[in-house]
Amino acid sequence: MRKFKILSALLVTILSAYILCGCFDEREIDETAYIIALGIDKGEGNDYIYTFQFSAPLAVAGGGGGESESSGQESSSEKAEIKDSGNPTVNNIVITAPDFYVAKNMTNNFLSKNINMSHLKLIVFSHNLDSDGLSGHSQFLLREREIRPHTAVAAAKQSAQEYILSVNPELEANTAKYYELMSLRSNNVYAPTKKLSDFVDEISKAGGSSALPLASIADKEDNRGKNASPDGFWIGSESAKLSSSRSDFRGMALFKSGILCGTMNGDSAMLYNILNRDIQSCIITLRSPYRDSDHFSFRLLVDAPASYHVNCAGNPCLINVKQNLGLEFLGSRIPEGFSSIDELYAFADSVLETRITEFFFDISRVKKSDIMKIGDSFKQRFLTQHDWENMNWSQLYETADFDVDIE
Amino acid sequence: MTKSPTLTFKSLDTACIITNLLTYRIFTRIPSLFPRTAGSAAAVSALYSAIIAFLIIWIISTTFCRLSHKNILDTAGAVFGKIGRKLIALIILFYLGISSIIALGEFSEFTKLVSFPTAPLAFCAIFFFVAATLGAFGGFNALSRMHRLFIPLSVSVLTFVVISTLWKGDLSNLFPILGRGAENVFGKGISGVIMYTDITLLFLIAPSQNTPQENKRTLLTASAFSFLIVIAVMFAFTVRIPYPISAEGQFPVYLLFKQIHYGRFFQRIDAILLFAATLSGMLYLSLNLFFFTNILRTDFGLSDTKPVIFPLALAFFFCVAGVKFISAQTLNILLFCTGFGVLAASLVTILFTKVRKKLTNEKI
Amino acid sequence: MNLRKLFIYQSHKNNDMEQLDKSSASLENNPGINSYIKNNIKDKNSYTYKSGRISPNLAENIEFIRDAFEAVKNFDLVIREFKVKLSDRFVDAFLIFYDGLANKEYINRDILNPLMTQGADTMPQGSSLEEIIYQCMLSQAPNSKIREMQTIIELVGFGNCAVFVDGCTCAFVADIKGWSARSVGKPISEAVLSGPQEAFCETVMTNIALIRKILKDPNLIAENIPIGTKSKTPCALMYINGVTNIALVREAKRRLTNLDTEYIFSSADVEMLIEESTLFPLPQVLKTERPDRAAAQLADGKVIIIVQGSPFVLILPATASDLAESAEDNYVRIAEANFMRAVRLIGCFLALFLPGIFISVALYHHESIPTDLLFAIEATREKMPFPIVLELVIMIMSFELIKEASIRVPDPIGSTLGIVGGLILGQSAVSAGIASPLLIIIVSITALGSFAAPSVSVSRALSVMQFAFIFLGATAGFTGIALGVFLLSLYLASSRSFGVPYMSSSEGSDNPFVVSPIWRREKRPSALAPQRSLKQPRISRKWKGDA
Repeated sequence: MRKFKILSALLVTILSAYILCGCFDEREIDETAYIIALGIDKGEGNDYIYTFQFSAPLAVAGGGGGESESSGQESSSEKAEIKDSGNPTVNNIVITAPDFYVAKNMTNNFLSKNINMSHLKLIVFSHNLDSDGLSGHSQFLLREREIRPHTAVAAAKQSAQEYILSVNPELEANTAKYYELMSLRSNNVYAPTKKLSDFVDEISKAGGSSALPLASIADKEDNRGKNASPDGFWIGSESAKLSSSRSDFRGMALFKSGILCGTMNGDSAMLYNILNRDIQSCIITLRSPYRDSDHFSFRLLVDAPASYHVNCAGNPCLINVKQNLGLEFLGSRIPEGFSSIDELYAFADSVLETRITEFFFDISRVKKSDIMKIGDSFKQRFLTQHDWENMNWSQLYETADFDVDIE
Repeated sequence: MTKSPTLTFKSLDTACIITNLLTYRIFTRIPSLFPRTAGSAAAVSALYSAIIAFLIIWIISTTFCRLSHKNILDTAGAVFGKIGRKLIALIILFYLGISSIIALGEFSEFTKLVSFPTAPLAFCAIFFFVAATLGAFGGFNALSRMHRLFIPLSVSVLTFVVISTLWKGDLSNLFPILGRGAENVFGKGISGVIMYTDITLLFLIAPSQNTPQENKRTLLTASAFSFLIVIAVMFAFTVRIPYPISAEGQFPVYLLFKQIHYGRFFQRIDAILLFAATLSGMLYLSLNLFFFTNILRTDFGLSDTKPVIFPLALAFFFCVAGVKFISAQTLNILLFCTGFGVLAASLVTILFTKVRKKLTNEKI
Repeated sequence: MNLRKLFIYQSHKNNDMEQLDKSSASLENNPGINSYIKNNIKDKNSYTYKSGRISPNLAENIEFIRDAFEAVKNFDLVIREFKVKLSDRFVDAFLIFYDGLANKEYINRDILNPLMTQGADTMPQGSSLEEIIYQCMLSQAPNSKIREMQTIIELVGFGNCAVFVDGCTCAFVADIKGWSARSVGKPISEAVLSGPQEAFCETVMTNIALIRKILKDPNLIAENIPIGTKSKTPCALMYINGVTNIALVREAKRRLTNLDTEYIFSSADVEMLIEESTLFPLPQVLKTERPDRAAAQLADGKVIIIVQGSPFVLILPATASDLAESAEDNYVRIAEANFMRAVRLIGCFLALFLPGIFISVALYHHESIPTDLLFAIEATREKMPFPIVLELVIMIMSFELIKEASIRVPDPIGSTLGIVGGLILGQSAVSAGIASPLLIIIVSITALGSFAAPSVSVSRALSVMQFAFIFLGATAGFTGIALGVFLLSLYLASSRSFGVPYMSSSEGSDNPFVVSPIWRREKRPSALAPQRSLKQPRISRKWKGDA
């Protein structure tokens, strides 16, 4: 009995010593630096340019701050530079490296704290990343233990570095909150919302297509009136606003098999959101056919996502697109030229149908990207994966006709 | 013939034990097993193997639940004699050992993945080792009460995962309905039945407190409920995570849990999953260790189980954390072999029990 | 379910106790005189010394009594010699009592006066002197004839008065206890708003009476089991005959009668002596100062132990679900009762786990913290000199110091201590950069949670156990917490209290989390295996059928 007690005590001591000598993954909160945004650009040769944006908690707790006009300091290192974006609540580090983990290690040279990515809010890919770069980065980022699958992903119109460095939110003290609200809330109808997990799921499939919101920096000057598309909708960076915050989310970038197919403006992004029912309602403004200066607005209510029916009996395939939408005129009086409200609604109906048809032709014939996942609904008719792959859906899709029926 | 001690427990305790035995592998390997063989038809394959497993359980329960004061080893001894009993006991022991080593390794790796990326595996395994050792010391009654406490939590967590991820899933991920082909879904999918072999452990104990009808009802109800959970998780997994990605990854439920996102405040609640999985694993390992030592006592002449528990647990621990004597692939093969062995032994015992009873009209 | 193999009590021999006479353990086993009294007696040849019984010779008795009680030294012992007036003669007599323990008024009025002055007018023919005095002269109701000297010594020590008469081989012991005792007051630790406001006091007879007046059941048994070889502390074992499991009563009696200790001072001593495991984290025996709660537990088939000198009675067996019950549950509406119980359980949960969970999240699971909160914590922690674990332990220990000090602080400065403590722990610590505001909140919530526990024992147990979870959380995050929960549950699940599994339900409805209406509590707790499991029929509200 006594021996048993001694043995037990010895065992407990050894176990305790083993357990206590490690505390292997214990990290104090104040010894950790949290990345809130990550930008990946293509560098020279096989290198990539990584932009890490860290949160500065003391500045965040102090209420953020106004703009800082300082341009920051540039180090003399060829590979790394630290730039101050003017946003005092963040700390930016730009590293050029062949690999993400190399870049992360190099970042440790500048930071005293351990890097933690569990509060990463936004990943911005440069539009000129090649297929390997985009797919490879996105897949390993998804598999990273610390990164959350619902981290927002965006494609940069200029470069990811420029975008991230330009972010200086006006209404939030915490830049991470700005990213979260900006990229994942559905009140921004002119850009899709895309999470990392969804993006990787979409591009991992054979011939997989996806659409990312376009993150851009507005020009410094007021661009009202310039480069305006006929319908009054602009693509990202060509925005009619005067604001000290130059970063915006507008439009979308289309990808197929990890390669950029093209970009689309905010109007197309809005249609994408409507067809997917990513937004429940939005306001559309149409120009009067009778007078150029007349505009009128409708509230569009989206009941359900669009349904697709693929009819491959003929050549080319005919894809029927059906969607139920609610329209509500937001005016006090019927605009000039329209005799009744029904005529107005019929006009709006026809404009929407035309736009949606043009949208589909654009993404199938021009961009060749099945971002609406029509193939997924067609796939349901097949029994096995083999049968589906033999169908060669991409070819059918790229030559298909669309019949849009908006009710 | 050695008579097993009569361990009694209530229906709810039994149901919770059955649920844990059938669902603990959800936390480690079940959800990624089926996509690897069946592709997008993972849910169909899971349903198929669940139906087969349920049939096997029904067949086994029809015989054993009627035999009060008898468990599978007693029956095997009556039918096949002493040597037959020892052989079947040996097969069960092998299965318990392999299963414990694999479970210890998998749960330790799960813990390491979620909480301790830089810690050695031994550090993570120590917690399960301590829990399993002390749990086996506590005895079956204590373990059954603990199952009643914790398994509802585990089930709630899994239900929460299913509900939270299902509504944001894409039903088109279920198609094509036969995935990688019928031969993969139904042919290779039968190996999924091995995941439920642990149910036979329950037949090592003769629930003599309740009537045979109550025993059978409890067993079948709990089994059906457990299979429902497995299928629901499989369905949610397939719907949420499309095929090529669902076949990769080691701990699929963790991937699924990471998808849960309820607004800015309620995100990344992996800790809840870790808690439920850890408890489930600890209970399973304790039960295994208890059964192991109990069989040694009843069939191999061990007078007292308590001195053996700790060295046995230590042996399992070293298999996982120390020098890797056996590779993971070999372990998996052994698991499948012994699992099939246990199921086959149970079915054969039943068959011969019925045959012998019919021929000799003997009361078994 | 029957009670299983009962716990076998093994008394450890104390070397010092070996010198004492082993047969002096209880009244039934003690026909002679205790050795420590025998040592005082000078005349070793006297009849009383040898036989232990009263001598018919008064002088011998008085000599024995003087030696036994060390009358020369004890100034509060009164030996009054007097003469009993009979119809035809006077007989010598004396009485003894302790001044301060006995009521002198009763002695004067009911013993001395009738014996000395009134006398017996006529002597019934053929009656002995004992019968004449006992039946005709003493007008005291609780009066008994005792022949064993040891018994008389013990009774006098407890406040009775013994009358010795020359020629009688017995002494007349009158129960005229008159010591000063606290009257029935309000419960302090189990205060309720809607229920009775009576509490037990230190007198065992009063406590028994408080229970009897609630139950009024002739089957309510109160057995006297004195504990303590020297103190002979009266201890009442109460149960309802025909309801309580006989094995439970037998086991309780067995444990109480096999206690070999000299002095017992309170029910806490008895609790520690009869419980299964002293190191068990939670109480295995319930304590209450409410008669209504004690009566309710008796009605459910439990056993009560009342110890002289302690206002807390022991209820056994205790299970985990008893710890969540409060007396107030039975006096408020069901919705309120369930809500309060839920709050209580949440409080206990927070008291036990909140510090550990906070530490594990802060050290290992940063991803679980919302981003805004995380940055706020990080900003406050930048200036802290201590690691978070040390900071938490310091704050908890400070709070425990305040809790402990406030128990003993005199009332006039009690409120000042609260203000000082709050200022020190709150404002000053944060301003000085010793503690972060979030940690103050965590510690406060933990403390409030522990106070929400219905019993002081549970509250203290939670305060101790929380350190284990802090340690486990700091070592291994949620995995450590899970291990702690597993081990604690295992310990509780494998423990028994008087044969009843600790984790079994004690409620009649077998659900410890929900307070059911009284008309649904038909059954007594099945884990107790009472003799009668039904308290009331399924339809107890017979008026409902008439409507």
